[in-house]
Amino acid sequence: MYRSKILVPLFLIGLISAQSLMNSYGLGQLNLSYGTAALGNGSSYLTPSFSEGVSLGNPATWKNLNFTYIHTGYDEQRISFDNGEVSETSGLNRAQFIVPFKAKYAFGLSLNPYTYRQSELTTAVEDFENLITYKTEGGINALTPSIGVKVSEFESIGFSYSFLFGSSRLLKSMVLDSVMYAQASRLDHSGSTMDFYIQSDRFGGEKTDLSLYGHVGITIKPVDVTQYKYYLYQDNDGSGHHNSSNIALYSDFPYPGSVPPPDTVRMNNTYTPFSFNVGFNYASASRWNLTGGIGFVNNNYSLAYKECSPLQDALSNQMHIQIGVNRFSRKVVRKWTDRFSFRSGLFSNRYHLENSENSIIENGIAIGFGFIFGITKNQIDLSFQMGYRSGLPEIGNETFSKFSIGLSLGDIWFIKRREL
Amino acid sequence: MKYLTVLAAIVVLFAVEGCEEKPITYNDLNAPFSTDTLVTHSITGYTYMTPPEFGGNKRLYLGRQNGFEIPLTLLAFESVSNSITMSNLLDSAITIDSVHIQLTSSDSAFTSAPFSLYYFPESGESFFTEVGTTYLDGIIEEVENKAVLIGDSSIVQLNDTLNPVLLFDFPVALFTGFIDTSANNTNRTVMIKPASDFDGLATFYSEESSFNPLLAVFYTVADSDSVISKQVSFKPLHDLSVVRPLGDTNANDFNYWTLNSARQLKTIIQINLDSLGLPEQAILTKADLFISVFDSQDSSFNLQLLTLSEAAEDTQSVYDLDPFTSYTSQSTTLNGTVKDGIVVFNMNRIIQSMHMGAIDNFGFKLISKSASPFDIIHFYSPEDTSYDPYLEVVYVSE
Repeated sequence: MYRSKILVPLFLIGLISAQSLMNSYGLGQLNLSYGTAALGNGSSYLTPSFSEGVSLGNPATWKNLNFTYIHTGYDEQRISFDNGEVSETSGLNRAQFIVPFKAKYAFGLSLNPYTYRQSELTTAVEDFENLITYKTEGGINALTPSIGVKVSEFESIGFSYSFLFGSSRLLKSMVLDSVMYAQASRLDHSGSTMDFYIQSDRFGGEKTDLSLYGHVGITIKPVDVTQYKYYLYQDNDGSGHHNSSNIALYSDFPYPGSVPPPDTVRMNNTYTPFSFNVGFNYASASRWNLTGGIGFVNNNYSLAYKECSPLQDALSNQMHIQIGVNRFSRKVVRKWTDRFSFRSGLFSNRYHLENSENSIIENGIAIGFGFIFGITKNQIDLSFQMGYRSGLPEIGNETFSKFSIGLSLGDIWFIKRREL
Repeated sequence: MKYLTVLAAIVVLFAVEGCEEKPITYNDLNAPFSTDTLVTHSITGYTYMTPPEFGGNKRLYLGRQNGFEIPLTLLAFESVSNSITMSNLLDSAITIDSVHIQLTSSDSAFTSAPFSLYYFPESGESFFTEVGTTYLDGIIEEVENKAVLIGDSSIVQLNDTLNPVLLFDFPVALFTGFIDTSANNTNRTVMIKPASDFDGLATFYSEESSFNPLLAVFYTVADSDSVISKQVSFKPLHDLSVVRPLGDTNANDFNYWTLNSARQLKTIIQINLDSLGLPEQAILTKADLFISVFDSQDSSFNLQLLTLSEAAEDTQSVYDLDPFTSYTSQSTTLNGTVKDGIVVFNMNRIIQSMHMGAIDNFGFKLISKSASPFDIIHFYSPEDTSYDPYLEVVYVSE
């Protein structure tokens, strides 16, 4: 029976990244979160983390789904700095819709943040004079249709095409002669990427399954940026916005209505990423899975765009290593414990800064649980991840923790009904 | 459907973001803005002259000063005061007892009054206007031929708080003819002239001020039982002091930037803002125009700078009508006072608006705002390389 023919528009994407120094480089920090389940496995999107043989981030694995799923997740993130400052935020992280067909094909559509640019950096001065502040917010989103196809007895492939869009804001301010000057810019981004996935079960044994996974991501249309640079102004009311006031003392100068239109600067080919990942999943007869993966992203930022970022630097490349242990719920549930999934992982990321040539090292651990319910294997997942980043210029270390809860609702589509 | 409802409820619940953000302290940030100072001497200008304009002035003058003479002052009185018309006073029940014309001096020490009062019994309607009548129209010669003497003045002190008053008695016999509209005399105009040997300058309040001239009529009204004494005062409808320069303009008047109200000497200034080389986005924290005084005497001359809203089509020294009368808003009018031989205009907001294109740069006009219209001042023009005017700008930009 069709549960629903209406696609629930779950395009509610909240800004879920707490501000981090990482958000101030280049386009911002890439979103490496592919849902709550993947988070509990150490942020691996290539190898199975959602359920047995399935990763929500790898279309080549979707053929193993038995039901149509709508998925969303909520994250709460906290970052602590060496100087005792803390940043916290929370919100939705992803909306995804996957439809499997005949255990051979699958189609999916997802909307999620691609980069995070939320940050506010300020100098520490004693008397307010020469106080400098850079504030960024927004980021790029990705709308990604995907398909997965089983091409042989052992191999499956997947394709994703991501439409990158969105805008970010940059506000610069500085106090000169006891007057605060500010300038706001809006940056509109557009571009597209394509990802290819492959899964092979060719090397499994009678009692064990060894699956290998591969992924290549290329840029189809490099991200172009259009910067709208609004007129410089005296922020006399300190609001961060160029506005007027009935009280002359608090009215910004010049009058907002008299300034010319914003300068438009077009920067083409600002970001042309290339990524490559390989992974494996070793499933034993006792349902324990050992997963691992390694990935590399080369960001290819243009010089012009690096100068737009608050720190005038960008992450030129990053390497990701992950290893984890999972135990998924049974396909056929005999007792209540069969409904639970367990995930865990260790991960490490290495980021390289282009201008300063520094390296930032990120290490962490993750743990997660899942529970299935209902005939259509609805699933609720809980994950927790914590770690630290070192080598951040000026800041030193960041300690981060992230709690995530995900909800996946299943439905039955494409079942041929028996006519009475 | 149940699950969709649950999902929707969860989505709504989690749609509210929680955020607690404090700035990250990072001291190695590049300064986004800096301040700099620019000066330009790329300024041009010239002095021009138009016919004198004394209409609307708050003072009336008689005498001479600084190369000008004021040989006469004309006053045309209203015919109505508080619903009483001048012709009402010709009623048979009314007896006019006395009439006098008074002008209040603006000088509390005013003591000398060698002035005479005239009227124009054969001149028909009014023959002068406050705006437009100047010595160039031949008004001085015209009134000399038509004027009929009434009498001489005296000075009285009406009370301790007011300045002395110049008083003329208007004989009743002449006054009835003055107000009789059936006669060929509807101008209601009188003229005051100083004695030919009067060498000073007398200043009085005009009809535009609070202590305006008055034509006061004291009369009695007789009814069946009694006689009632009354008074009515008529204010001027127009008044004008006719000013005539003694001799031609000084050679310096057009070689320098010259300002004078009596001769209507004004100066047009044009500043080439492109020569500053300001960045496209700049906030001006200061934009001062410095103009140096040529005259040797110490002066605290008051002047005004107006921002033109139309371009000057040609440049002449003398105009019959002032072509530069269109200005931008009141906020772009600046007042300045000479101090220590220089006047500085703070043109920050004006130059900022021009730089952003909010108003056009058609130039500026300098006019005298000195208390005395006979005061004159000369400023160095751009031709002088040592004391030429210049604009200094301090700005903030990326």
